[in-house]
Amino acid sequence: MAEPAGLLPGDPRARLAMALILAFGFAAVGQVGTVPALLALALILALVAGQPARLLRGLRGPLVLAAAFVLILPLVSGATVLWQAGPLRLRAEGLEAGLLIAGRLLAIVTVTLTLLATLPAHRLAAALRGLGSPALLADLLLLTLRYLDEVRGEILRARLARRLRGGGAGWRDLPGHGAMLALALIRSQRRAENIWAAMRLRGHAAGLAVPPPPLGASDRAGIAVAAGLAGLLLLMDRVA
Amino acid sequence: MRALLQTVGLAVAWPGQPPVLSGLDLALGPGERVGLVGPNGSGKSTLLLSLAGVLPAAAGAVHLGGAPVRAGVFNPAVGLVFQHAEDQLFCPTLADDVAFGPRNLGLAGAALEARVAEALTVCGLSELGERPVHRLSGGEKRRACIAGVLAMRPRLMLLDEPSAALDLRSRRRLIRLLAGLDQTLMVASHDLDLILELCPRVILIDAGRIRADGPAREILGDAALMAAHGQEVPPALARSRVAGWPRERAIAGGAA
Ligand SMILES: Nc1ncnc2c1ncn2[C@@H]1O[C@H](COP(=O)(O)OP(=O)(O)O)[C@@H](O)[C@H]1O
Ligand SMILES: [Mg+2]
Repeated sequence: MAEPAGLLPGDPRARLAMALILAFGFAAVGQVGTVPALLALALILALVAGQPARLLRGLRGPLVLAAAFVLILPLVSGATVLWQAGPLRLRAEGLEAGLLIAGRLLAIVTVTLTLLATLPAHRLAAALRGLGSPALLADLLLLTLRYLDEVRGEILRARLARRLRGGGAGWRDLPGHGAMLALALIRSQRRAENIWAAMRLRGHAAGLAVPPPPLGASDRAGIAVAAGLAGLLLLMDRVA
Repeated sequence: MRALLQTVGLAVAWPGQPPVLSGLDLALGPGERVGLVGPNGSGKSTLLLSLAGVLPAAAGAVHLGGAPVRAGVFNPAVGLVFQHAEDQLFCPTLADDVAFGPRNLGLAGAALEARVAEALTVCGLSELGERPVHRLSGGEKRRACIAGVLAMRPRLMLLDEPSAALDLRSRRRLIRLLAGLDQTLMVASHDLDLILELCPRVILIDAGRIRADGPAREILGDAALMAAHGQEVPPALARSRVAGWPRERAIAGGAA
């Protein structure tokens, strides 16, 4: 499958390894001072990959969550009051924690989306298996992703069907939505099971496929760069 | 003629439920094309799933080419085309999806590409290889499923309601495609005209048992038998009787 890989390695295994290394590295950052470097790194990676529209779409949810951390934590946690207006008190420790959590969250999501969002689920699962994780785990991931996909589709279809027949929208018709959701979950599960059967019928996990070739030079370089960057970041974090 | 597919005392059940079908003895010769008919819920799909090794036999056994079909064990000699194309297509592009099976058979590189191209061509999809599967039409999706199975070169192909939800032209195209295959076919369908065109032999199941097994025209044309199992004689056969045409003519006309 041709995709605009840009400067990133094309092998799904390499991408997965890079994403894991960077995500764990980012998660280990403990100082607010490192957050700008964290975000800069994620941003550069996203620019190198060059799919801003897709990235922005994927970041909508995490952005809201990150904003919530930054807005709420300073109000509720910490002792050092930075600023006060009536009952509102902004505290330094809360602000710091909020920025740290939000920064790590956004950086991790950005890197994961950049490296993995263009990979279809079955490639991702194959990559997991290629990296030596147990086949069961990889298949579980595959089925989960597929299941979520089906659930989304089912919910969209059901919502449309409800609307077309005059079903209410919004909170007032919560029971109706609940029933719809339950039905969507059941339907999706059946479909995911069928897909699983269809895949196995066509030899999925039968162990006959030619093993993937060893990682190429650019793939290995990508992993090395990711490891180097994560290491550098953690070093900065310790020194700061 | 040595049977390609043989079942002995086969019973099929969904987990934790009484058997949907039981005591099935049937044999298919190589290259035979058999239509599987019966009312809704009679167990056509269930039988196909069991013959393909998705559902384990509750009793009895299925043999393919002399070897037992074991549930859950990959057997490239039998291919199943699911009723709903969405259950079967899961790769991003058509060519990817068709390559899935052969790749699992150990094909790679040029051999894999040739196998994919061949299957796409047979199914009239050679122009659409790079198309995302969700952007195929209903008829194309159906043929894509068949291509994905054909690419594994199975000896036996099982098709579940292949003409369901197809328009006239797509249906005609599907019939032409299936009529041109060398594989042994078992086609479960409510589309009796399709079965009449495609399958010289018909198996009628109802209420857990095989109720008739024989030449398609005799079974599908037997008004009493068909009515007893909630079916109607297809128009092509009914007309040939009323008008007193030779049946052969009516059928040859339908197949042209
Ligand atoms: N996934 C399933 N789980 C449990 N029972 C099922 C399932 N699918 C079908 N059945 C039951 O098996 C019987 C035969 O169904 P099916 O094989 O789909 O019939 P047909 O294809 O002839 O319409 C029905 O009674 C149905 O309720
Ligand atoms: Mg059915």
